[in-house]
Parts: sequence; structure tokens; C-alpha cells
Amino acid sequence: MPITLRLVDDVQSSDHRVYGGAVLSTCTSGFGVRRYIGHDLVYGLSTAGHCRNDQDYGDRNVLDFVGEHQGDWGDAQWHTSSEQISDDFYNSTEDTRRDTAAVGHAVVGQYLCRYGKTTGRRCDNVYSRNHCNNSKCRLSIMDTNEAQDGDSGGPWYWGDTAYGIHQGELFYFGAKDTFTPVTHLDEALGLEVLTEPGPKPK
Amino acid sequence: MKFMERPKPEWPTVRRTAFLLALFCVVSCSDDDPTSKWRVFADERSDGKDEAEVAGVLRYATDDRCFTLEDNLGSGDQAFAIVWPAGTEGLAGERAGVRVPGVGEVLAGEVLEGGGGYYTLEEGDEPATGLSGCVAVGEEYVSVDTISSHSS
Repeated sequence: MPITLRLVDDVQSSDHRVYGGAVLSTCTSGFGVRRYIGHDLVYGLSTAGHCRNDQDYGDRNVLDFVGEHQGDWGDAQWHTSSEQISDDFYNSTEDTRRDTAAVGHAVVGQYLCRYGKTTGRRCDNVYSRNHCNNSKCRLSIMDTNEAQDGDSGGPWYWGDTAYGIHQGELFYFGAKDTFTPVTHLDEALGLEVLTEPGPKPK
Repeated sequence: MKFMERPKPEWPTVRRTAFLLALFCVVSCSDDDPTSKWRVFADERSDGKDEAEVAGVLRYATDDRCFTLEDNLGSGDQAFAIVWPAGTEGLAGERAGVRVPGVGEVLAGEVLEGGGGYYTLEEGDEPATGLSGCVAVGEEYVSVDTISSHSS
């Protein structure tokens, strides 16, 4: 029986997933999210609203912009993907990931960690809540500023609990990191954070 | 795949107006002024900044007198109209470029790297921002907060 071999340029693995805390074109991804659109439950990946709408995931062009909010409820946007949306997020430069098991509302003084593509993993205490950074409001701010350009959208977390997505820097009694509480994603964009992975794409 | 977005919460009028008025032309930028060479928009807000990565080649178009950033991040090459950091001014003379406080002269053709945020120009925003003519309603523009490097 003759066998025909065909060379292909690229092999797409059906096991590819997209995660929070990953490298995007201009930012870092936050957490897996979902919302109902009509009767359909649609899964996606969050980042900061001020990130460019057109984003690659690493070197993969697998994200489609859906919507963004930069206003009263913070600074967030989300994208659907041709790959499975994971509920895990990267939390270190050693490629380790955490499973998102819960969503929390941070209180003043609470110790949280953040992961971003530029500065990696940094931790700090919540300084205050409900601040505006220019047009973006209801943000929480940390004691200091450690994030840098490219970290926007990355996850703020403690253990396996999601608390926020990184926003930027606010000068309020010194420079301070800011984040959009994930509990505001519902009001901002109708989103909830995933604690289970999304379905595999058909 | 695109979806209809649910209605966004209304911004309080005062804050939104203040935000938009903070974006203004530093150099004479009216289309009615034929003597102005380039249109330079600066964001005079100074209480905070966004931390998206911004990088690309600075371009200048003589027909509309607009500077754009030819973005080289990711696979989709795009050009974005630019809102510069506070205090930025257009260069006098024949060279197309700007002078950014704390950075110096940045010329068309140079590669910029830094940080900021991307915004979509919404209906009704144009008069306050003065951005019409450089960016169309529904298109994104980039607000550059910091420039970490620039080179030709």
C-alpha cells in the first residue's frame, strides 16, 4: 500500500490553552472569565482596558477582542480565544501556575501578590480602596509602586484566590500600584472569574 | 468573533469632561491655521499613569500633520495617533519631531519604547480632545505616559 507523506509548516496542538499571567503583545493577561451573551455562556481571557485591543498570546494569534471598560468600574477588557480558556494563572518566572479557586474582595492592609511579564512576582499590602486614576475609578492601591510597563492586566492574588488585575501607577502620597478589583468585573463588563476551565473548543 | 457589548455605565459628566479637556493641543493645531507644521497633543493629567507597553516607529504625515506610532508589538502592525506626556511641544524648525520633558527631542523615524495606554475615540470626544483629523471615531489612539528609550 503506498503511503503519501505531506510536509506542513506548523503543527497546532489541540491541547493549547490560554492562561492568566501570560505574555500578551502590550500587557499581561489577568484571569479566565466568562459571561452570558444571549443564551450562550462565552469564555475569555481578561486584561486591562487600556491595553491595545489587538493582542497576541505569546507568539500565538489566538485572541479576539470582545469589549473593554475604562471608567467608573475600573479598567478591564476581555478577549475570546480559539484555544481553551484555563482557570489557572502564571505566578512566577519558573512557569509555575496556580489554580483559581475563589474570588476575594481585598481589604486595607491585606497582603497580596502580583505577577506581570516585566517585573515578575512582587507582593505588597493594600494601602487604600476606591481611588480614581484619571478616568478609571474604584481602584485599589498598594503601599508602593513596583510594577512597570507591560505589567498591566496581570493578576493580583493570594494563594488560589483572585483579587484584581493590574492597572497602573497612581501618585497618592508617593507612587503606588493600582488594580481593578475582580469583583467589579461584573459591573464593568458583565464578567465573572473562572474557577473551572472553559470547555475545549470544538 | 464579535459580540454586542452591554451598555457601559455612564461616566459622571464632570469627571469625563475634565478628562477630555486635559487632552489638548499644545501647538496650534487647528485645521484653520495653515502655518502650524505639526499637530501635537499632550495629556496634562499628572496624577497617575497606565502601564501597558508602548513601542514602535514615530511617523509623521505631511498631509494631515499628525504624528503616529507605527506599533511593532505582536503580529498586527498598526499605526496609532499619539497623545504625548504633559509639557511636550512640537519642535521649531524643519525637523518633524517633539521635545518631551525629561526625555529631549524625539524625531520622526526614531524607534520609541515606553509605557502608556490605548484609548478608543468615542463619538463626541473629538471637540474636547482636538484629535479629529488624526484619529477617527471608533479607532484607538495611544496615550504615552513614559518614554524609556528612543533611537534612530
